Amino acid sequence: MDGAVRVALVDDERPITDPIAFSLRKAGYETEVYHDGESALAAFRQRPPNLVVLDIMMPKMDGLELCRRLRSQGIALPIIFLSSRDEEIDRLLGFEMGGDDYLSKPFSMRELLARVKALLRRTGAADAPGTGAGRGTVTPLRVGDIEIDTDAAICRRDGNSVPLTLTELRILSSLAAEPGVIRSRSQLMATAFPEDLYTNDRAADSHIKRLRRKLEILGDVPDRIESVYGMGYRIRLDGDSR
Amino acid sequence: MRRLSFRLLIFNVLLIFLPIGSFLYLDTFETQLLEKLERAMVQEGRVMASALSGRDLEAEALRIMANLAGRVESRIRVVDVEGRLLADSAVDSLASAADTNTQTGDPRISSIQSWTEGSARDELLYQIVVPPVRRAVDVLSPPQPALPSAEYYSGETLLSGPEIDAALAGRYGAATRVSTGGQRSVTLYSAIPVIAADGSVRGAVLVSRSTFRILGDLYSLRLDIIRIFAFSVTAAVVLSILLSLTITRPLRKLRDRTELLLLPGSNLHEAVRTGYPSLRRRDEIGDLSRSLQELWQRLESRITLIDDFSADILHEVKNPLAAIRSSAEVVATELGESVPSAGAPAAELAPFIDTILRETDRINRLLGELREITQIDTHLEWEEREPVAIAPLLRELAELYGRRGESRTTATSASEGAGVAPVTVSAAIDPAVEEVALSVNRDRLRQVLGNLLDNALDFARAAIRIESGPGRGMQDRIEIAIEDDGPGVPPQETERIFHRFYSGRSERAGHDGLGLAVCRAIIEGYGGTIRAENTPEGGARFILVLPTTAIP
Repeated sequence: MDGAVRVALVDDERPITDPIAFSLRKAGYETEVYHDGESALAAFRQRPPNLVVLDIMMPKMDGLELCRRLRSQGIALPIIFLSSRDEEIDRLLGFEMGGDDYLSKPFSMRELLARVKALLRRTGAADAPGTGAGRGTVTPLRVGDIEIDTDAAICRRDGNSVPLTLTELRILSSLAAEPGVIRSRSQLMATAFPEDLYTNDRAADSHIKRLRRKLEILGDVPDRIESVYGMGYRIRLDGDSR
Repeated sequence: MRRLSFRLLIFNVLLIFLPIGSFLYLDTFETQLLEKLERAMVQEGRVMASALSGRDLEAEALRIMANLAGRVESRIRVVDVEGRLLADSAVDSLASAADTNTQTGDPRISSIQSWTEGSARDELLYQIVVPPVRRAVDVLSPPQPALPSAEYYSGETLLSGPEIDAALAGRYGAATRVSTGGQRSVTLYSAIPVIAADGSVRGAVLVSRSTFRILGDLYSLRLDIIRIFAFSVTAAVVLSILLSLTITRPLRKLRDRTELLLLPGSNLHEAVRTGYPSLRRRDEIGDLSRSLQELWQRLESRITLIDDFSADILHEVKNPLAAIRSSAEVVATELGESVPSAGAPAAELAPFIDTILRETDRINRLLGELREITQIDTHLEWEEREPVAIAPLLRELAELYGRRGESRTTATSASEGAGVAPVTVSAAIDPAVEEVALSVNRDRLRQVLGNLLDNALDFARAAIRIESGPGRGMQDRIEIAIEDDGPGVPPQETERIFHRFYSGRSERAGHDGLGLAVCRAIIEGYGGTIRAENTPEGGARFILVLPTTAIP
């Protein structure tokens, strides 16, 4: 079996792909670079990589379209989207993203490498037979009925599970680690993007919004993640009056 | 629009005052009629006088009277040289009773009945309009000598009025006397001498006739004019209302729609997107509505253009930024790994790499803020507003920032003396403020206050003070002040720090540019003001003045 993990990079701008490809190779991944969606799609049909780093805004075929075609042809690939527009992120939210992740440009290279690693590990786990319950070395975090598998980056309740992006996983874990304790937006963002010097506090709100939606899908109690006005967020335990 | 309707009505009503003017014309008409009447009387008199000359005056006069048998409208009397009454058509004819009636009875009522078929409504109409007009004319015209009554010759056998005297003297004599019975008509008297063949005056013919018939005619005329006037007024009012409906109503519709845009706190985006009502009219108002609609569409496309433009700019700049950052990180990593072999170069270069990374982050942050500031108006319009009780919010913030101040570890402050020492945060809230709320978006207000407090936390030496009280000299306003004991703002810069990309205090990371500009945009979006000044101790004080609303 081919031991090398293959990561594909799709972006129309060479100044962006060059340093990323360099770093990915440095990190030990076999890296392929494509500069438009069509050539990437053609190549992926032949031989799908283990993971794709995909720019959303591209000529000919944009990232979302490429993703849609891959999915419609039954090619399941973990994807990390790169985006430079708020609007694109919003469109991603409407898109059924599964456990995929995204990063806003400009991103930290270390952050990108961390996410590539996390996503590969998670999809590797998802491919393994059975669930990851016995596999993880870390005891899963539990909040009420909710179980957070940090290894697999999924959230479970009553045998159902939803995948989490790395950002969501980090935020949820940070809140779940100390239930009832308030985390400010900037603390949460610092947890979610440890490699980034600058993060926008208000972006925390949209991540929280998505987390709430995912917990809702699992049928969790509403308002599990509570807004504390003017201060931040905290996670609520069932029956916890605080 | 109401003013326009009113103006239309006024013009229309003014137009129908023309018939009123014709009333005045009627007076002239009356004079002409009277002149004609007098001329006819004189003719009658002359004919009579000519017929009588050279015969037996009395016998001939009586014969002619009998022949006339009241078939003339005038009353004809014949007097001899002494003025003695020889013959009188009112007495000597069969129709004398009727003639007498026209002269001395109360002919008005009977005549009105005969001329106007006795319409009480017409009479009322007449009485409403004519007497005031008459009175006005009487007031305006010079006073006239009172006329003697037409009873002048009543029962006399020796007629010696001035006109008779004149006629007996061989001249034409005329007199006017007021008709009896309280009516406004007068009786005209014309006396013509009867001159014999030898040229001597043998007597006189006195022709008299009441002007009542003329007045009767005039009455009918006036009544017609009044009727026309009444119809005209009604028509004018109806026309004005119709005009008002067809002109001012659509105009008002256009105005209302436009004013919707101008209302403070109205949703500009929403209003522009819902479009402008085009009126399917072919007139100028329709044209106006179509022009406005086009203007509206251009406004919309311009707004969309600006939105898209800022999004595009962001996108276009973020891509190269990502490339720079990634490349710099790669270089940093490589330098870090190739450590000591080459000795110093890596360590020497490291700060420059850091600068590249830090500055790309700064550009990125500024881009985000720039996007925020260009969209702040739109966002403020979209966001829900609710009454926010301000006193509890300020206390909460004081507590939150008090905790942050205790553990302040930021080394970002550029002000000497400030820095890592703990900072206390106190709040002094006037009882009057407890009663009020602000109609704002909670998170936005918190963003502004948080921004100012973050600022203060970076500059303060040891203390931050939050104050709030009723707005000075302004009802329904409150003032919120946040002050620190740091180095303050240079006095000449207190306005400029709110400008975009003001860099006076930019030595501190994270404080260049747009934070205060965003604060100002938000506060002004809520109809408030924000300004900066320095405390007597030299620290900076930021003062917000915001309109209040009642606590629900």
